[in-house]
Amino acid sequence: MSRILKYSFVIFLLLAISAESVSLAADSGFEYKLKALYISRLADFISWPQSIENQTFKICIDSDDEVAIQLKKIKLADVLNRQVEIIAPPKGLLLTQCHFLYISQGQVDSSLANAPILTLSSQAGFAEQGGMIEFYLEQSKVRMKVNLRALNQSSIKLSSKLLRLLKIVKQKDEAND
Amino acid sequence: MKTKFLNYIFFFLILSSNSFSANKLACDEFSEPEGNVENFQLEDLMNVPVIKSASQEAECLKSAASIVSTISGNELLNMGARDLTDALELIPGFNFGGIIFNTVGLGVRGVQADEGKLSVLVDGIILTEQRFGTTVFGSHFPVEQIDRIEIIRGPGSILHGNFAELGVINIITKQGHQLDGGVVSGSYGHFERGEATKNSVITLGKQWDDFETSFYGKFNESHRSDRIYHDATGNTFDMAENNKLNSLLGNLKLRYKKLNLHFLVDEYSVDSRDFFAGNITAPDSFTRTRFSTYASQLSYQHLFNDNFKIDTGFDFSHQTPWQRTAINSGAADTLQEKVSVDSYKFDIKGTYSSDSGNYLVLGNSFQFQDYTHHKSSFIGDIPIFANYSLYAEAVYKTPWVNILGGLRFDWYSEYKANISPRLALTKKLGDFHYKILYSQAFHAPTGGNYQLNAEYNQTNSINKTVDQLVPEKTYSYEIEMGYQFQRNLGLTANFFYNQIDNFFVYTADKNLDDFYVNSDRLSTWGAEATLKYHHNKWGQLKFNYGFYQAIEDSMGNFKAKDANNNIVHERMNISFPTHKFSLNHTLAITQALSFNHTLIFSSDRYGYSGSRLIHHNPTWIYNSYFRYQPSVLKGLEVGLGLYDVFNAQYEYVQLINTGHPALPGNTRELRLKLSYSF
Repeated sequence: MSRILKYSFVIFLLLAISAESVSLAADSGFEYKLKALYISRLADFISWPQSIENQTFKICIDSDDEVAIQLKKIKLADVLNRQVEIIAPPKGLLLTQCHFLYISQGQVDSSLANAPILTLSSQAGFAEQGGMIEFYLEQSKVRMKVNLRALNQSSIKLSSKLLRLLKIVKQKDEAND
Repeated sequence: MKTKFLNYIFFFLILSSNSFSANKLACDEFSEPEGNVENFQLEDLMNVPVIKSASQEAECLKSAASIVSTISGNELLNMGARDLTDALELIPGFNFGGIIFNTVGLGVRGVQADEGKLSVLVDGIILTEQRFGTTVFGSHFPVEQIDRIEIIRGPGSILHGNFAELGVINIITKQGHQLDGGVVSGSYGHFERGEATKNSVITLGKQWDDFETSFYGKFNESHRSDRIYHDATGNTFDMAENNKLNSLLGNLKLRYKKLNLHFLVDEYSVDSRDFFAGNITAPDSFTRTRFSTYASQLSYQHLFNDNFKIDTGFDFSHQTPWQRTAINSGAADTLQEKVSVDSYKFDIKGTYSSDSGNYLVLGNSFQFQDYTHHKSSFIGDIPIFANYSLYAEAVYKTPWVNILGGLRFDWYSEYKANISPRLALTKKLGDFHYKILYSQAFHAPTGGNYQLNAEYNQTNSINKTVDQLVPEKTYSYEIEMGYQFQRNLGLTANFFYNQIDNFFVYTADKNLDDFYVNSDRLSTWGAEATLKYHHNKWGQLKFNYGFYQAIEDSMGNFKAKDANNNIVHERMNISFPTHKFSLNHTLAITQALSFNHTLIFSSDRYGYSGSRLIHHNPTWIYNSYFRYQPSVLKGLEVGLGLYDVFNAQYEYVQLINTGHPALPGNTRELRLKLSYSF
């Protein structure tokens, strides 16, 4: 028995030394990775109008955003079972081709209020200011807030299962009512 | 001399800190290694902390340096786990078996672990009783409040002390902010021939800024089985009307910033008409064995900066385990045995972590058990059992290997000092990871062990004298490899070799007077594997496999021997199947309805009925569960489960060898569960 153990030890040490070094994911990148994974999972809980439901799934996000970098590492086509494109947010009306619009900086364009686009951001106060889903940290964990009014204005539907996992917030002007 | 030494230790601890901490499982906020999050569902992702500080990463590296299984609270709810037993049946290498008096314990990797070799903790409070070190299962530990269960399969003694030779089960319950409201829940189960269980639960939790609280309360009445028990001499009784299990559990947690206060009450009783091999009580009488725990823990963590923290804690518990009362209809109850134990533990440890993730933990703890002897055949007092421990653990990371070294020094008031080292080489290299682990562990006898042998010498009718036990020493070698084939498919496999010297054997003479004796050596080796697969349409699949081979058993006490004293299987220990696997699959039929089914296979086993060897055929247990969360009634959940669908009727073969026949498990059970969250 001890001989087997000795051989096993040697084999593993050789493996360890010869294997290519891959460092642990940088701590700072893990938060973005989690957000990217959230985005990849969200689509299962959302329904879009029939007209765009079966189109190539488009996630619009600035290509230099860390979340975009992490998104590109995920095999999204496998997760979503359809063609997926990650593109930079187009200008003007072309934005309406996005299923997801991740806003790195700035607010939601009010002209998109009725469009079937799920808007997301990590900016503090994003949901209260008219965005749909906002990532935030609580107890070191990534959580999501949702603005139901913004959602209801669009023709996107969130499943009740997803709603149970989200913190519902009121839009600022709504909260002041 | 001993008193003076104790005083010095006490002063050292008081000077070290004004408050105290508990040893929680390493990385207790991190349910899976980071590399596996790609497979997580949305709900599971919400429980993954963002690792920000060096000290947090250090915690996770510690966890990675063990063979660890994790079960999430959501998995438990999906599978309709009736209690902790259903969850632990899925863990590779774990096997439930009977003990005595209708109790069921756990064996690990081919070795009886129910007595002093496995720690069960609830949020860091040790629930394993301190008198003998046992933990009994069956309608005992509920699952509703569980956030996750982390299980170390292998020695955890360096950080978890005396009862962690073969493993640690840490139940982590939900915190106030996770609950943010309450849940009321009730379930009713029925076997083929009798009532299985009535269970009611309330859970409450809330966070207000820096203050957070949660409460969990459960009341449960169950039966072990509805089958006919046959003792070794042919006597029988119907378990449908006997052998009840009653349980009351309360768990209150309060947190203000980094100061935690935790109270736990566990009242568990087991009725039995069975005793040892060949005697059962008269129809209207039985023995009630009660296990009670009243425990509290005060802990505080001070973060000096991202790199240095101090954890301090004080634990106190008052336990009265194995309290036996004879109950006869028409006559007064007779208390037969009652010994309580007050356990005190003080602990302080500092963790320094560098920005690159290397870390050093230095800690010390002092604990003692004070036994109060209320009633038994024993004459005299049980000494105070005290233990001072000094432990250190460090990790140094290189590109190819993380090297972890640990050392624990234990001083015992009743036994000689001991040093236990640990070495772990681990690394995740892309989709591949490996772990090479060497650990020693130490298990000192308890006051209960001491009492039993002293009592035997005072009372046995054959004028025999037995020595007091000497401590066990465990040597463990483990190797794990894992590979993530695809984003949704991962396989982990490990090999182990465990050797326990001076193994404690519970036995009895021909008059059924019981005592302990050391066996020179017991050793096993084996392999375990876990495969996880997730498909968007077909759901989640988890396959677990455990295999072991017995090597040495110096006394031959765990060997299967025929009437001529010939060993019928050299590589098996009684009670343990050579092969065991489980397959668990969850399918989301709709967004509101899920279906889960579990298949558990145990290969053949051996046990005894009196001195007669019994062969138990392989068993296939199949459970199924529907979980329905209607969207129209937010908060309502309905669960319907059919357990042991094919009525295979598992037998709890006795883990030890006192000739007790296998305890019949349940027949097919139908269970309905309703819960409402608010």
